[in-house]
Amino acid sequence: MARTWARWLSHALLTALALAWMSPLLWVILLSLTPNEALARGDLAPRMLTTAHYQTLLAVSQAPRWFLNSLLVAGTMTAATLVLSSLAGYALARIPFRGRNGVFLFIVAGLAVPEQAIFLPLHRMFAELELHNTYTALIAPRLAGPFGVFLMTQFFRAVPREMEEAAELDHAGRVRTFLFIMLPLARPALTTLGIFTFLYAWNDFLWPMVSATDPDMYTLTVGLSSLQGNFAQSESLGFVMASAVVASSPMILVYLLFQRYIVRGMALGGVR
Amino acid sequence: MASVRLKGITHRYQRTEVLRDITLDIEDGELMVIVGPSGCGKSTLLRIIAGLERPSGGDVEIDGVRVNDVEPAQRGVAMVFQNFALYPHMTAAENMGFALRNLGTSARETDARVRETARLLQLEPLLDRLPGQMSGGQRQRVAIGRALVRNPRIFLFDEPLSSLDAQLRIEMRAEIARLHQRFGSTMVYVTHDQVEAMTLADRIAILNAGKLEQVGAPLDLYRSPRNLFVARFLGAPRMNLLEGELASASAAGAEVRVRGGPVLRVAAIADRLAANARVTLGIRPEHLRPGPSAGDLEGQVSVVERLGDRTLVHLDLDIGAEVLCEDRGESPIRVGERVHVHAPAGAFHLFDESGIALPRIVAA
Repeated sequence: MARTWARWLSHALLTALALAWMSPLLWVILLSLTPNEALARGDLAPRMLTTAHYQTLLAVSQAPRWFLNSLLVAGTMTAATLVLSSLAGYALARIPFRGRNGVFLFIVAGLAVPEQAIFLPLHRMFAELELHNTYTALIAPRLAGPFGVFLMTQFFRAVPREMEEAAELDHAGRVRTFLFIMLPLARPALTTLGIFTFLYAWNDFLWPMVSATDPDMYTLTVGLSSLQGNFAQSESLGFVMASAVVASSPMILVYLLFQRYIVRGMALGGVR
Repeated sequence: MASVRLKGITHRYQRTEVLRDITLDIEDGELMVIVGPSGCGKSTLLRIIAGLERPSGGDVEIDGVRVNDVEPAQRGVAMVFQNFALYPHMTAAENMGFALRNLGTSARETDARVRETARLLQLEPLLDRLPGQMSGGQRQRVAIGRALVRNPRIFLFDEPLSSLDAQLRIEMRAEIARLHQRFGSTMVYVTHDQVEAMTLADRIAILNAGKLEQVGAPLDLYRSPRNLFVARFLGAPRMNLLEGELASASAAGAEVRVRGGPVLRVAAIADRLAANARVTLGIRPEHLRPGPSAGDLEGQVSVVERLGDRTLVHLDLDIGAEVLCEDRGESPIRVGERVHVHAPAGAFHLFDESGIALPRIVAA
């Protein structure tokens, strides 16, 4: 009996906390569906909801193109990161070569470098290569991420060595062992890394804003921020909120679909 | 099938020498068990035969061909690992067929060979299961099937039963013995369990701290251990050891004065030793019979272990040593009781001060 009550109580508490955490999101969605007149009156419980802000967003902006840009950039970045990090992680974890530990430490040290610190040289380099306003510029700088390499190295180190030795005795060469044994084993780590990379790429704002000056090359975050006028907060709050909902909806979807892997990934990568 | 010859194998990890001048011939079709305590280098030796490690010195020959530089897959060996090392994302059938597929065997032939092996090992109902959906014993059989399906020249087993429970170990032990009898394959089997070694082996190689102590048929080693290490290692319960000194020696036998105790007759040739030389006397528990009447040694019972078919009696001897003796069936002996123990002269083993066994006189 006491146990049932304790469970009810903990569920009630957790539900209350979840609602508290969700309230900003629900608030944003509500505002994005509230007519401007109601917002101007300060009426935050309108009788009529509207999709006008979303229609305006589609009509006055290049939102669909920015959405596709974001999808292309995040998708490519995720795929490339998975390939590069798993290859590098496997090599660092399992292939003995001179200076391996040094290379690993050098990569891990990259985790301590703030991205703002390399903005100027990066910008200059891409300017000299005349690559700004291209997908290459939006994607390439993000591929050398140390987190993915660190995560995959740690994962491959934890795979029992006998697994690889069994494959070696089973006539599998290095490539087949990697493709058919190690990569399938790494599926949880790869899923986690994929989700984190996608979310990071989707949310990325600073570098795309610096590199993409042509509206055709904006990603969704940069594009939507460009729509905000000086009086956006007071005169078109609904529109701003609709932009926020559009920008965050893919991420909410990713969280809902993969929350199990995100939690596991936090444990795996030591992210707190 | 194939023979294996290890010639002067040495191996070092940085400065630590883990194998010292190992020379061992494993004959075609033989089941050789390499046994020794943890860390003695037995698994390393097996990995060297497999090609998973390259020895620091010496040669490995398979069928008379030096294979030091031959890749593991090309040596014709299959290995069953201690933790099975099954690929967790593959079904039992895929695990067993992986090597064949890598060799370019057609899907149809792979399937046929996997099914044939599965039939032999009664694995058919498990073929579509993942390792995670199997019990320890089932996984072990799949691991053996994976080795068997490739039709290797040599089977290598690295403590394959150590993670199974006691009953399953006995069953799997019998299964491995049956496989060996059926196929007559050359097998090298590593274990730290001397019961496994005694029951499975054609011959046993005993390894201690990287050094080969003795090689021979199980009962030969049991009856005639070359040194104290082998004497203590083989046999459960262990051989009893008593310190003493040589009282007299002749071609007919020797007399040993047990420290603080009586003089015992031993059927061993000790005339190469000086008078009063320090020696160790060994006697197996099953040869030391307890009884209420007068015997060679006397003491008080400290523990009694009744196993049904026999009773193990731990005895604190009056001379200050502890011994274990064995009584047949359900012994009436009780804890605290005073008992005498006796052993015939031919049951004793005698070791010199450096632990080397002295030749025993075999009764005609």
